[in-house]
Amino acid sequence: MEKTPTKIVVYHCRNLRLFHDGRQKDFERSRPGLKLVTIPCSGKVEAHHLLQTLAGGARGALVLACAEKACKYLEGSMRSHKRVDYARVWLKKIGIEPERLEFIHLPPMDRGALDDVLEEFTRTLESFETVPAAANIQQSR
Amino acid sequence: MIVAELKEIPEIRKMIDRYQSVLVVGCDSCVAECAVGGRRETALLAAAIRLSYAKENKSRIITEACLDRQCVDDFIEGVASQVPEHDAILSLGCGAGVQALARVYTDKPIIPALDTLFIGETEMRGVWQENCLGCGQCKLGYFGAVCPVTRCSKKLMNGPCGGSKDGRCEVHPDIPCGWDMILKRLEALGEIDRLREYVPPVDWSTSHSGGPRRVVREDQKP
Amino acid sequence: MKTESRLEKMLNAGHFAVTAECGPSKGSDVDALREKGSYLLDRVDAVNVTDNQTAIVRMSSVAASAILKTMGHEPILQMVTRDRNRIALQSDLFGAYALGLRNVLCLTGDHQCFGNQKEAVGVFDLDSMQLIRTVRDMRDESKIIGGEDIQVAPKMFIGAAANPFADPVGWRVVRLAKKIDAGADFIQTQCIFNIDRFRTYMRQADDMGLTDKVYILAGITPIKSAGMARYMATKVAGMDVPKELIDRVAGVPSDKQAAEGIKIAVETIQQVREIKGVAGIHLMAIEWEHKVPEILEAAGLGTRPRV
Repeated sequence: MEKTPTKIVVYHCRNLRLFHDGRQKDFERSRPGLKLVTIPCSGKVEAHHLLQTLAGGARGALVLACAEKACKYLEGSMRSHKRVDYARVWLKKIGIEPERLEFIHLPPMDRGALDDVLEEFTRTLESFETVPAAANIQQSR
Repeated sequence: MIVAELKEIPEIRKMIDRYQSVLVVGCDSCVAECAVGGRRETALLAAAIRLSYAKENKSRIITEACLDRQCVDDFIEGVASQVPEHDAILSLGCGAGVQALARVYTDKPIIPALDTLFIGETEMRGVWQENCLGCGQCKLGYFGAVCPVTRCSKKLMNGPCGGSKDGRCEVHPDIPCGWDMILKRLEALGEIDRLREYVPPVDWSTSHSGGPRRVVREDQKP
Repeated sequence: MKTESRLEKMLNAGHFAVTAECGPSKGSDVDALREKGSYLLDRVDAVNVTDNQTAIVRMSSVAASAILKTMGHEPILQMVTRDRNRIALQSDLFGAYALGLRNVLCLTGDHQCFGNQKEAVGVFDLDSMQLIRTVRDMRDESKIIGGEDIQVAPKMFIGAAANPFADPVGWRVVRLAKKIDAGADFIQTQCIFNIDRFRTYMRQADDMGLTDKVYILAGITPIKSAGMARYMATKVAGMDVPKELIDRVAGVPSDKQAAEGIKIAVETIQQVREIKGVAGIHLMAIEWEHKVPEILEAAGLGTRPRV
């Protein structure tokens, strides 16, 4: 039986310029299970987005941010870090591995670093028992 | 504003486990200001509840919605169309919001997600301070705008007790002594003379001791 | 004379008064209470019967006072406003007087968070100041709160507490004046370990003419050990235990520390007697009532005058 790809959502700051060459779709397609979401600043990601991402069926979510001092919006990267930590507190509360959420400072334009991060993160997620897919939970807004 | 705190998830789960579908309703007023029941927090709690059921492989419908004010009829009607599709409502409103929902949606169980704490102010980001007990007879004018009923742990009306030390209350070093604050402020305002006079017993009949209070104003009625 | 209180008679006659504290039992043990009371009988002029001190549930101070009275004691009924509203307080005052009690010490009480019933509601319907005024209005106007008349008003000799060592310092003498205005006849102070600070306080009180209006009894607590001294210095609200004093007790072997503590208490008694405006002492020998006679003998207060 073919292995089901590990669903991972990556929120990456536009200012990291990871896909300045426009190859985001290609990168995504070549890595089954991966979903890339470009955001204007890592500081835009909040705890509820991350929990919603997991509740929506992802096995893990990554937030990729600029170095704190490099943040174009001064405090965005720092805030984002705090928010990921807060979301992890929530996961602990409901008995889900907090390591399913990661906050990482990535060097700008470094896709190689992204691949390394993804590889390790996938390994971590695969070591956990799968959170039941969201198939049996209906959501509406 | 009203300040509240979120209950522990297991307690919330214990109350809602019997329902198949739950409408999670936030309130975007006071409890949004104290970052516990606004839109964001409603989304967060709803997602957490979904995840907690998913983890146990249980199927539940968890829907989220948020009202601008949960304690005013006109706003409460904002979720009227969603209510019939759900077995129960989990409210992120204060105690007033929960009870207002129950008055409007008479056939639905309304479950509180928050513990309502006090009337207070946002002292700084992430810090909320109780400063009004709603006693019904504001005397702040005599006490340098620091409330002895609320800020003194013993509701003393005639000066600090013997447990005031370095401006701190005997109950806990994190609690500033209300009377120390009153004295410092009146001293700075040059009105310390106000405190030499004996303050007679408080009339608590205008507080909750007089039973649940109600204000009726004919000029405001439709 | 405002009342039939033996303590008032004593102070009025100009005698240096001695009062001591007697904490009721945790439970209904009358024998234990009588035993504590027996150490103090004829040794002191009046006995303070504490009211659920530090918010720990004990036998009612009204009941314990009445029992001590049958032994021949002159009880000072302590009443805190923490646990009873004005209905209960006034009712208990009627009852206390009916049982023959003639002295009351009006207190707010330690916060319930210190005791063994931390979840209790803190009543604080009145504060100590308002309780003083209530007892005075009963005695002098035959009225209860709100102005209704009463038949056979309780005529109590009214006491209040004062803590010269609490903050804000500038406020302490003002508060004393307020308590006197409210109706206090006598004052019992917090335990005195810092004699210099007490002297300053008394001088301020004297300058304001307060020592002529009220009898001030200086609070004395014998230290049992260096550990107790440190505990009081750091853990008990509103205490001032200077480091030199702790060092002095800690400087003697542990089996001699109690004796050193008693020596200090005796010296303190002698020092406060010299201060103008001090009308007596109030001994708070916590769970050490049997040592009271020894301390008083050593301080030259072994025999009490008959009034």
